[in-house]
Amino acid sequence: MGAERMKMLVEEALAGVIDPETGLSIMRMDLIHNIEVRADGSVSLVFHPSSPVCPIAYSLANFIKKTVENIKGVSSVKISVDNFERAAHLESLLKASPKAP
Amino acid sequence: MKELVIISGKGGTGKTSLTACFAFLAKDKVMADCDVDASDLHILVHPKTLQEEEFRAGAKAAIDLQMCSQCGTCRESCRFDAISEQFMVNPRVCEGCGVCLHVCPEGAVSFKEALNGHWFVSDTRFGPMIHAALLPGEENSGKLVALVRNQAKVVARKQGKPLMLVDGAPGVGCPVISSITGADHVLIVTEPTHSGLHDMKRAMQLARGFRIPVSVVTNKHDLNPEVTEQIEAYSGNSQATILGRIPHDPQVIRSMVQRRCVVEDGDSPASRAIRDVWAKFEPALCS
Repeated sequence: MGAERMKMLVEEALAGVIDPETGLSIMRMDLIHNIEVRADGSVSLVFHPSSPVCPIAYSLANFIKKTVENIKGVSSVKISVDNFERAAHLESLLKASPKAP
Repeated sequence: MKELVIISGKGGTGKTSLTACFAFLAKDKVMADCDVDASDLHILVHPKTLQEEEFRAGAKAAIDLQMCSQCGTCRESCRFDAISEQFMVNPRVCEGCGVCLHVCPEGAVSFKEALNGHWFVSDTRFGPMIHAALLPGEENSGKLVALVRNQAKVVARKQGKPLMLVDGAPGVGCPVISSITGADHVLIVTEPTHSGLHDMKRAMQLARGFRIPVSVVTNKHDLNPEVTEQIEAYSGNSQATILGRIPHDPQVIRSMVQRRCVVEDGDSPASRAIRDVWAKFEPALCS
């Protein structure tokens, strides 16, 4: 599968992730930036919570990671976090959580 | 992009009027009316609605009368008296607590997402604005505020706007908290009355709890110089910036009647004071 096609699948999958606070898709809320897909199936993206103190950033980031990991052909997911007070801590947790078999 | 949220603590101090004046004076901005319980910034900025959407949050009970055995357990359990003798749920009274769902022996109760209001993307004579209207008696205003702020940020990012002006809600409750979390600056507009001073203190404590820089403006300061002094003394002691005083000025009302802002209508005392306040603010907000 080509990288462009894979990127479309990632965007489609993330469009189905709903922020429970607003009821809107996280793509529509512009919470996901810079999606990049490489030939080996590795995906990277930037998660931009709507507030630096977003109370659901941890659970939302975890759900985003699992959603992308579940796409056929994705080998790994790297999530960078910006606009969040505890971005480094959240990134370290995401990095440590293994991909489900 | 910088985000300025204008709140008041007490209602009716001139928060929305000042927001509209800033919207006129600011060169490039997006507006967000987060006073969703009683939004009226649109009255002054004359929006043309580009997009209207429903806001649904929370849930209300519904009883399937085909399945209902009319045992009355749900009616006895509902502390809000939302279920009639005919086992119809009054959606205005139902709080969505879910107790009827748990106690119904027939499984006849379901929960449906409720329509709480509408939100809008509009173009106005001062630029783009995101605003909303909560339906009477509906809840989840904090969630609707979060939505309005988020969509204003999306518009600001897409259009490269450096400033977001947010008209917040009065009080210190959920919609205000939702209006200010993560903002760059909070401006409290107060008035020289004892309730104005009292509620300004509460609003300031709230903003400081979120570690947001606070500035204060006293509207109609000349109506009670003594309380104005108390407002400014408290603000100074709380490390808030005292941005200025706006005098009582009949021109404000004359402009308002015409659905205009006082800064659009000549060089009246209030207009001069508001322009002075904005001149102090603008360099920090738009740099």
